[in-house]
Amino acid sequence: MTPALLRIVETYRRPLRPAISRAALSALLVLLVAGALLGRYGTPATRGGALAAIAVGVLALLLHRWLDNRRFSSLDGAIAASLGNVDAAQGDKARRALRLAQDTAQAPRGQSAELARLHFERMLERANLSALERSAARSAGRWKAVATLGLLVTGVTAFALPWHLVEGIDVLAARRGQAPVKLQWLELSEISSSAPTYLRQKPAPLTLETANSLPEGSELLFRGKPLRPGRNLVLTDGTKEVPFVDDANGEVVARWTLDATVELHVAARFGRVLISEPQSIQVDSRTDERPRVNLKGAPAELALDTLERLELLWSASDDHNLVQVDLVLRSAGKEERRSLESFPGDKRTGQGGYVLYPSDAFLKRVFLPVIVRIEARDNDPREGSKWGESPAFILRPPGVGMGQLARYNALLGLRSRMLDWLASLPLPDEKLDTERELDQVEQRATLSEIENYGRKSASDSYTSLTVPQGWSVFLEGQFERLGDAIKKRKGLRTTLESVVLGLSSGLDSLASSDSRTVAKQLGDVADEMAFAARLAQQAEGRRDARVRLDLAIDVLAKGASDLTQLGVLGADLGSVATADLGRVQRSRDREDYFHAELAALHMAERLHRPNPSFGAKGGGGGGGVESGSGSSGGGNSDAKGKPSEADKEFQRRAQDLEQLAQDHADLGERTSSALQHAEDAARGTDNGDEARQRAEALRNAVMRLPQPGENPGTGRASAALAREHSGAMAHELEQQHFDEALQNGRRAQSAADEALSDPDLDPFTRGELERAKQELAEQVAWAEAQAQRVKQQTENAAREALGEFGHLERELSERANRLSADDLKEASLPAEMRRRLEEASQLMQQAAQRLGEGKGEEAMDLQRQAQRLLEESETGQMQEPDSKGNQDGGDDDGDGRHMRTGGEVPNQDPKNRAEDFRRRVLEGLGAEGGGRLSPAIKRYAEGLLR
Amino acid sequence: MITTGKLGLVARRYLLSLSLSGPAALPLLVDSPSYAGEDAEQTGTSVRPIANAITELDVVRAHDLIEKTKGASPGLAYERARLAIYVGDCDSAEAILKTLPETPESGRLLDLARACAKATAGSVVVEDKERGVWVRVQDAGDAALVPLIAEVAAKARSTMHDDLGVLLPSPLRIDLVRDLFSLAAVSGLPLEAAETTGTVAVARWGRVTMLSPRAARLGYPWQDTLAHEITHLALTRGSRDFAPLWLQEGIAKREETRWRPVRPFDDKRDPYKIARDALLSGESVGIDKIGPSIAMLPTAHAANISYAEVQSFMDFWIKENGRDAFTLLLADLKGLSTRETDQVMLSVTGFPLSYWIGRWQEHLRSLPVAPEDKPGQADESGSVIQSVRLGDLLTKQAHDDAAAHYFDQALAKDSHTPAVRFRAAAAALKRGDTSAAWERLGDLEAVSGLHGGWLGLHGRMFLERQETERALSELSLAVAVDPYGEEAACEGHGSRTQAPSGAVSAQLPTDPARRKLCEEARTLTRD
Repeated sequence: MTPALLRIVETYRRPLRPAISRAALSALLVLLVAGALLGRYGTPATRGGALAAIAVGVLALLLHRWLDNRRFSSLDGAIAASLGNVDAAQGDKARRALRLAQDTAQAPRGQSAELARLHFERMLERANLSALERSAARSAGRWKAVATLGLLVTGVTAFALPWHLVEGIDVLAARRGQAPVKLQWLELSEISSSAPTYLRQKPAPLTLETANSLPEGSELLFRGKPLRPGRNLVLTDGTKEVPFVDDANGEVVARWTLDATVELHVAARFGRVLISEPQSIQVDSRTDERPRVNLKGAPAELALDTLERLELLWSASDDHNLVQVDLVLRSAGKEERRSLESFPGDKRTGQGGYVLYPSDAFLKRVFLPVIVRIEARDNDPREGSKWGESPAFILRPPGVGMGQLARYNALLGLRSRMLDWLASLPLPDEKLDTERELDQVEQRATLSEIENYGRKSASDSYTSLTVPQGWSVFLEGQFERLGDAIKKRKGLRTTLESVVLGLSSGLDSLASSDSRTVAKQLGDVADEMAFAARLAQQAEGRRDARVRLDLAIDVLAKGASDLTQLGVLGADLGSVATADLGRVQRSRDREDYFHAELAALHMAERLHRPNPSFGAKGGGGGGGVESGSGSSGGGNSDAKGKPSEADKEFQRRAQDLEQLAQDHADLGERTSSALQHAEDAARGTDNGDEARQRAEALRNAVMRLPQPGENPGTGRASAALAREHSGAMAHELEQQHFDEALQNGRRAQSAADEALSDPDLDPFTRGELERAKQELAEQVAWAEAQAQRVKQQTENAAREALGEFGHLERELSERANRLSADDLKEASLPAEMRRRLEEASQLMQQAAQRLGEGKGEEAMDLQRQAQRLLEESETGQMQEPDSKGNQDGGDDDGDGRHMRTGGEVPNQDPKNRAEDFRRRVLEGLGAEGGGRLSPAIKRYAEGLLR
Repeated sequence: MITTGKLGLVARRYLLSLSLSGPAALPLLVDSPSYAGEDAEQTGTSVRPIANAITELDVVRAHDLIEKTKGASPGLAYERARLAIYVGDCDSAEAILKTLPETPESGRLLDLARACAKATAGSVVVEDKERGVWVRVQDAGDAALVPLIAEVAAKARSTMHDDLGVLLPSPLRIDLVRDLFSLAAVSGLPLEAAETTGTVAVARWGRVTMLSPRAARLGYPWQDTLAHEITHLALTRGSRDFAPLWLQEGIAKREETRWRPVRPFDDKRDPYKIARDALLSGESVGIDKIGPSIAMLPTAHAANISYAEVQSFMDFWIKENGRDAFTLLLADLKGLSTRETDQVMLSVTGFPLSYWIGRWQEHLRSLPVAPEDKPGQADESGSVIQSVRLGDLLTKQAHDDAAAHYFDQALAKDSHTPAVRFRAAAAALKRGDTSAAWERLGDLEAVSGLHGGWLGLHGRMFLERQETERALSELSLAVAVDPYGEEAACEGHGSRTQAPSGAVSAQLPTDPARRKLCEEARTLTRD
């Protein structure tokens, strides 16, 4: 650039430059203020618009500066922007001169480059610098006016709305909805908390400085005065907001419900932007915890069959309130809850105990492990009461059929010992009497050992099962037979053979009835298995269902295995169960739960009908089928029939005994009833008025005797006693209970005599006593006569009925006599029992005789004695009381083939009859007065107690 | 169609009465569909051809016909369900029947399908494609018996073809069930009836449903039972279930032993002799006077006579007219769709039924008088049973000498019962006294019938004497009588004959199928 041009440019730009810069700055400020005010609305559109406007302004300024510099950087541009801007003609000339000089310099075509440059210089020198300076000054003035206006607008706005500008800029600078600069919005006057009402706590103030710990569900209250009105104030944890509302007292208030641990801020919302206060408040939420329950000794796993009792000592606590404590028993799909404790008031802790016995109805029904827990409930109404549970006791029930198998094996052990004994005896020899040579002592010792084992087996318990009562009696009878044979040195082998066969037969029957029982229980397990398989078909809960299914499969597998060892029917049913279980297991292995369920259902139905797989009435041997009979010559022949009927005979005898006792009890009741009826008739004759008059006379006679309460041992005390007994006699007389009146009268006489023997007795009392004694003597004599009369009349009235009862009693006596006979060797009763029966029979004979003579009371006394002996002679059955019901009307002959359809009325079991007996006695005791039967009732009660 | 135990008369009476009392009573065991022919309107064609194809066991043709039938109708669905049951697919049958409107017929079939689905779920199917036999075993252990079942079924089918001109389709389906409960479930036989009578097999729904021999404590002659039931299937197929009762039972009795060579005691029951005696004594029941069922005859004796009569009559008729005439008879019954046989007899032989009955009676009268059977001398006092029981108990307790004493004691009183001989011989063998064992075992002439253990032990002893042919014959017979008896299945080797030092389990048959059966037999508990 030439010096002349430099002068021109400098002259023109020097005044303009600062003016333009100030105007640009002022424009930027205006844009910023406008942007802040617009951006304060906080919406994306307003914030974007504001930021865009500011950005455009800055860009425009920079562009202008760049263009300006660019224009003055070339000679042509500088001339045009400066000289040309003021004097266009002069400017054009100068630019033409410039082009000529430049062209000549680059390509001289005969022209002088020097001359051309000179021409250009002169053209520039001719420029009017002062005009140029004036023009520039005018432009600068305009730019200054613009700058001043901008500053004015900015200043006015900043003065009028300073916080708007701050907030706007803060909002514009926000990131992710949060403004960078925190501002104070509220002058807080109150921060407090109220716990949920069910906790019954008072409101409490909160502090900003430290963390606060409050129960979940507490309500936090924030109250304060806004520092700048018109802001949309909120209380927020960064996620949730609660607005402050006007409380009509110039303050605003917000309520926050505490659901979780939070850090709360007061903030102002601008569109989508929050400007928070610098301070926050930390509030920790304390969850209402589940009650804590401790169970002493838990967790533990226990075997139910060895458990005698389980003591459940529990303690429970809750952070707020306990409401209820339950004992919870769960097994597979079954659940039973028993309420142990309830707490109506405020109670945070509790403790108690409960004893669970293996005989518990729930435990007796289960076949899968039982989970025993104590569970406690709190009173949380917000989320519903929560249950806390203790560690668990897991009770493993004995396997299905385990008890029956153990019992069966124990009795098999007895048979094994007898077989060993039998095998040890010398084989019979036609020529020699081998038994004569036996060592009697040795044989006795063997028998004794077997007896001990047998008695122990019969009295032992097998996982809560006992041997049916009849077995003990049956075995005692058999032991006695063996003892007799040893003693006589004759028939030991045959007796032992008979005993072994009888025992085997009994075992077969027991095993058969047990098999049915076990099969039905396994049927229940199969039902559970089917249910689990059904649940496993659904996606929800499949995992649990599979566990449940596998558990049931395990129980069934073990049970089926045990069942297989329970005699012939057990082997059959166990084999069926195993086969069906195989089908379930195969389906389960393929995860085909549909078919697993079907197979399990079939299995359950089958086991609930525990009949032999085959045979029915087809006979005890092979399957003598029509199609094969020709080829097998009558079937697959085997030795058929039953080797011993001893158990059947015994069962029959037991039933006969039960029936005899029942019949005799009925006859006793009928006798008693007939006598009572006759006695009532005899009493109700014509002596009522006289009896009342005599009672009154007696009362009058003793009226002046001393009252009870005198010094014991004195004559007056005895006189008082005489008065009391006399009163009782008078009462009995009125009731026409002459026997009782007589007894009371004699006691009164005795007391009067005792009183009179006291030398210190005062004369008045002595006199009254003498008078009373005379009256007593008269009334006693009358009562005695009346008692005799009633007795005579009663017997006369009942004579016909008693005669009939006498015949019946004689028949019953003969039945008892037959039962006591030792004619059924195989099923013989123990000698002691036979002796009791004989004695009962004799008593019954005597009773029959008395009845025939019309001596009812004597007969009844004998009847009662006989009845007691009969009931003591009952043997009980050799199978479980309910096993007959188990048999589905069937009767098994031991080989599992035979089946009898149709029902059989079950006999009353001994328990029920004992219950009936007690009921009769209690009814008797409760009857009015007792009268003539009182002594009998007492004896009955005594017998019952024995 | 049903094979029962000795006292199976009640069930037989009930079941057979149903099969003869007309369509209303049929659905229980005679599966003619009441829907057949009712659906022409809905499907444009009758389902009767499908029903007939199913009844004739032609399940492939039935399937094709169903596929070709357009449209849908309850009758068609019913036939689909019936077909499913015929092929043993009770699940599908149940699913189809559930969609049908409830009618007595569909309800009964649905009950059957449900029970059958439960009884067969998870069962094992073994198919012998070479022999064309399909066996479904409920108890997986019975798979060991399948090769023997397939062998019998194939032979019986072949015999049916030769004797009756009826070729049973392949595969022949057999359900081997574990107990009567399952037999009732799979066959539709009322359970009470099955339990009362001791039914062992039923030919129904195109299948033979048979009780596993393991269900019977000492087995039963399952091979002849199977052949008997297969005969019923063949007759049903040949006559489209129009064969009258006397023909069904007569032929089934005749055929049940013809599939195999003659066996000992086959001639013990001679139907000609029984029929002749009855005719001469005036006790004859009459071929066409059976009534609704043989089982409804007044006494078991009469029933026995009736069975002998129908068996001997059909045997006589076939001998006189030939096998082709019988084939024609069946075809004519099917063609005429009637159980009235006079018309059929006339067309096949030129004479009515009464003529043939007369000829048969004439033949009976001409038969020579057969010697009277001498019943075995059995001890009735019960001491044999007691001795056997004591011997068994002592054997278990390993008191072999004492046990042998009791078995010998029983044998002295009863030498005809093979079970007694078997025990006495086994006890002797256990003590190593082979000659005593031979003596006690005796031979077939000495025993009154067949016994698996006796035959097994006898076979074993022949084997040890290198008399292989006779040994194999007896061992085969043992399995036919009691396949799960240890001595029968294990070629005479069992715990009864094994000395305490020996290992029973080591003694297994060399034939793989027999070995498997032996192993299975040893897993069973038999008291």
